[in-house]
Amino acid sequence: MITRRALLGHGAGVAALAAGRAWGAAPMDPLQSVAWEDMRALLLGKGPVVFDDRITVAAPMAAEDALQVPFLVDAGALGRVQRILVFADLNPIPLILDFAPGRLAPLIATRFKIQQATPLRAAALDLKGTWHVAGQWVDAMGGGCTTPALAHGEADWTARLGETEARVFDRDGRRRIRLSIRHPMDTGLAAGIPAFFIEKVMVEDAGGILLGELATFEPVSENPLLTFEVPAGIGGDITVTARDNNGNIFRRKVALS
Amino acid sequence: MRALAAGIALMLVPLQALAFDYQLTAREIAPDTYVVPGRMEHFNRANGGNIVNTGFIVTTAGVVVIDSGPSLDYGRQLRQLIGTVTDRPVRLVLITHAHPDHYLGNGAFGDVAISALDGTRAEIAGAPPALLDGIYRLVGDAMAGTTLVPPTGVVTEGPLVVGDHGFELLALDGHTRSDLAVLDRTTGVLFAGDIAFLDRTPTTPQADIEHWLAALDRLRALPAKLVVPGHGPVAPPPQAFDQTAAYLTWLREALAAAAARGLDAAEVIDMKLPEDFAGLAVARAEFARTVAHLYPTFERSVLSDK
Amino acid sequence: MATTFRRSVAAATLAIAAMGFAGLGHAKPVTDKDILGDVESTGDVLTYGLGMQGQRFSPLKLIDKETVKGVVPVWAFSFGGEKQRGQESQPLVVDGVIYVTGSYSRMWAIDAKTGKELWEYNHRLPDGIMPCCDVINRGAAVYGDKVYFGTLDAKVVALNRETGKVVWSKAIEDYKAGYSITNAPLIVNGMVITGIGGGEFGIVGKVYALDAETGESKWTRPVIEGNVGTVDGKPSTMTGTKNASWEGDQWQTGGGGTWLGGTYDPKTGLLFYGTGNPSPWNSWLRPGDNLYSSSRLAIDPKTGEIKWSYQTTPHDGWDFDGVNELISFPLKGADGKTIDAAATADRNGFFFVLDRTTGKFISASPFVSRHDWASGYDDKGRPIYNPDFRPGDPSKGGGADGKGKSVFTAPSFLGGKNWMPMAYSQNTGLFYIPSNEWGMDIWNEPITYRKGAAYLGAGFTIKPLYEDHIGVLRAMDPATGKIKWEYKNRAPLWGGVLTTGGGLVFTGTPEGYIKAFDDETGKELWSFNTGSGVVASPITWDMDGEQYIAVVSGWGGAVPLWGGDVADYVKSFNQGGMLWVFKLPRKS
Repeated sequence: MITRRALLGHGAGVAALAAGRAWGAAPMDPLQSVAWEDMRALLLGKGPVVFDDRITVAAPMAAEDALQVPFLVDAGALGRVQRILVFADLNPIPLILDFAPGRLAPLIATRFKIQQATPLRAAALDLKGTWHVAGQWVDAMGGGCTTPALAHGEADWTARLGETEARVFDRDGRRRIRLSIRHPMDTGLAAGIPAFFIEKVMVEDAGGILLGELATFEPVSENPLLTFEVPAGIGGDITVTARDNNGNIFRRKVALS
Repeated sequence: MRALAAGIALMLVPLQALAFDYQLTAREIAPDTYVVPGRMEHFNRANGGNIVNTGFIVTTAGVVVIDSGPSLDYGRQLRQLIGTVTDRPVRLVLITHAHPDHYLGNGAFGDVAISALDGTRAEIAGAPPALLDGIYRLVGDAMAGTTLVPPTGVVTEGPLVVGDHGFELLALDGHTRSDLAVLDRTTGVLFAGDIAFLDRTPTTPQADIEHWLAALDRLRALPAKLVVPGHGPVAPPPQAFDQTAAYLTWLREALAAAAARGLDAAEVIDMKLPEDFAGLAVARAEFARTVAHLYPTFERSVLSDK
Repeated sequence: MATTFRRSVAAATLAIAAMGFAGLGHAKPVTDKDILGDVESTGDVLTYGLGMQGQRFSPLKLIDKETVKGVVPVWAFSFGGEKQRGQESQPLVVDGVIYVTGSYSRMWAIDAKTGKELWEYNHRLPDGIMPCCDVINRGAAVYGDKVYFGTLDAKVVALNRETGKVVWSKAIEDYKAGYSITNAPLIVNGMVITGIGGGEFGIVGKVYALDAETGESKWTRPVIEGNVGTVDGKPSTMTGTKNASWEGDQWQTGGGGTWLGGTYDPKTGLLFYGTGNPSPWNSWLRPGDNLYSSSRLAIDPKTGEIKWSYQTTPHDGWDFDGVNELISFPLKGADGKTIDAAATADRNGFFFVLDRTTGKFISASPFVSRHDWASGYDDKGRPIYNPDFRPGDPSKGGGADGKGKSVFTAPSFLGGKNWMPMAYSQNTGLFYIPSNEWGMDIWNEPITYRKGAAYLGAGFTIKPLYEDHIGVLRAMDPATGKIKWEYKNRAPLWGGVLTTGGGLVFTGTPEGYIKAFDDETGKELWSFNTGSGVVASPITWDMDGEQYIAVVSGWGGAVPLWGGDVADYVKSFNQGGMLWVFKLPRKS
């Protein structure tokens, strides 16, 4: 199991890797990140890895708001993929999300909290078991992961916890769903505030069949705004269910038509 | 001459820590009226944060300074520059709004009245320490010694007479929550603060587009002969007003359209800019910042259940 | 998902997620049988109270009156963070893992041998929680593959024992109305049973039974007459008879917080829950006995119906409550017969013995030096009040600013004994009561109910009765009502008691000590300074042939918040948050 502690510890791991281990024929990291090999070992396992510009990773070059850095990942050019990981090498908790698109389009967008300038990457696992990795640097003054959520200043943030807003947009036949959930998404790194974040989002069709699911982690921004797409051929209502690490469950039905 | 002397010293003793040399120049744009132009760039180490227009008016009762600039050293060098133009003392510093490139030179005017609208004064007084951290990180050594020095006095809308100059102060908002514009009725020069930009993409960290457009309309109605924008060249009206208004109007429509199409902010950042604005200084980077500032509101209005 | 990728850590995350909302479930499940056998199975501590009856007795005797002087710490575990407030938690020990709760609704799983943290659950609390008496928690419950606890925002949370991940979480009341949970839940017949706090805010106390697997409500039982319970979420029967002992609609905000939880007696099949003070404190505003406030209730766990009740303080005017634990024990009568009895030491200063099958009153004996409000109890078990010691009616004047006449009376509202559980020794047949000697100036004043606001109608200030001590640990003979020995402590005692087959009585002091006493003489045999006040309940178990003692250290609770002049006795005590584990050195 991936634990926050394991991820937090990666700083020490970098040194160990630099000292003793090499990845042989592994491709050079185009972003030249000191943490790349560590990220690879921690998140991608021992499978083959290629850097692949066919994956779109859209994000600003610099984080204007360290608490809300938008990104969109589109791995559609690869065809179907098993999973998409999005991570920021130099964040104290690197992994932002782990998306298993299933029958959804291999596209995901949301926002994350940035602690310092870092590569932001997407790794898509194709059906043959190869990771395709793309990304860019995001410059930042930082501090986003250790700043208390804005909700912390509200005496009674629980009153609106889990409120959702959603809308469906037509995107050339695909239906794009944008869904926001009111949640502080506390990283546990701000003093005195325990980690409190949505850790799972499931998308089901009208018959309760799972279309795709998303594991979200502490770096996802407060009041997450999720964007994903349902391909043509899936109709009726879909249900999005989110669950946080305190066991709170939030549900939203979205009519596709 | 002082700037030159500093340059020589730098060559002779390169290891000694020296003040950043802003090489400030005062351009006389009207009688008694000087503008100290800044670069149309973002904060960086090379420009020392000098991305802003400051100005000063020499009256019979002393000098009125409009904005103190981005750092303590800028403020000091601005004061030295004034000293090369007049022997009269600085009588009053007016801060147009609470953006750091306009007031971080306050420390050089600690012995002078520094005034601003009350909203501006309060915002500077309440600015978080992280604000300075961010600017130090971007600008580097030129910031040395710079601290937050809030204005000591408050001005309100209306006439203000200093010596032989009669000013009209306007309390506006839209670029920030509190924007001061200063019309010198004696010369017809309008110091518009950041309500007006020219040839440099407007910045929007606290912008309210509707209020900003309304503020521009108020400036248009003034009997100004020459407009000093917060950033960009001095020109007669309404050039800066028109350009700023056109950009803001386009922003409003483009962001609303993007939200209606369901675009994520990360996609909007890469949107193609119209030719009219693509050529403005720092257009692409400033637009990306603007998306972060303003797009969430447009997104929310589209998502919210009606 | 291809198996080769399962090995990657991230893949494992998703693998867990893919299993749905449940956890891994490899831990050896704890069964009802295990829980019922907790007293005899010395290798674990599965229940709050070291057994469902709450006797806090362990037959272990490897540590005894001779060897106890050699007991030393094995390891200590810090609760960390900046949240060092009162720690009143009793740990559980299951399969070599300690589950311990801490202030601010936190829980840890710790390797019992090494003190290594296995996981932490840190509940995200709203800022508006309203616990009356510090942000404490008294402990967890285990069942199956889950561990349960109640939170300060009135939720019951079920965690997977192995991962610490939430399996289910259930808000049983609205914390904004003043509800909170600090008691350790009970497990009976596959149900999680809990009480609730909030008696200072005009709530109605209830006992709640939830399905341990799903968190669904099985039944609820309000403890104030006139309120209606539920079974499977639907209205069931009314508690008592509406307006039999309350006027008007006061029963709707009648208090009776069940904040200390309860015990269970397998022999009679009954749950025993104590109920808190009636609301408001000002008794002149609510004529009548105010049933079932300040009472002990026997509840059938199958139906949630009340089988019997006994009210220790009818028409309570001193915030005496009646929440104190009712401990089942065999009472040897003068005729040599054994009665299925139960005993409780009440805040009001009296030690009660009841017939636990019927609730019939057997005896009430004072266990503190002063009990001004009542001279004693009559044969039927009703107090013989001393009316001079009830604070005066504000409508009759007598005090400043519309307040009623103030009286000084003992015990104080913090009680002859407060929350801290006593222990019953199966060896000596004695109860060991952590008691306190203090009184209070108390006066009544007008008050109007408002949701979520304190509903007292009284003011008070606590004063110690003696210069040299407040706390007294007393050995009470339930058959005679006589005190066999006592141990005096300068600061008020606020921690639970443990007694063992080794002839020892353990308890902690706010001065920071965990101490062991001779169960027959009260002689102090051992002490260790934990570095912060001990206001929690010690436990013992054996592991690899050695007997272990554990206690949580961390000063706080109600005393520093409400203790008035007691501050002089306790102000130098520093806060903490630490689990200490002790044993005898291994013989080489």
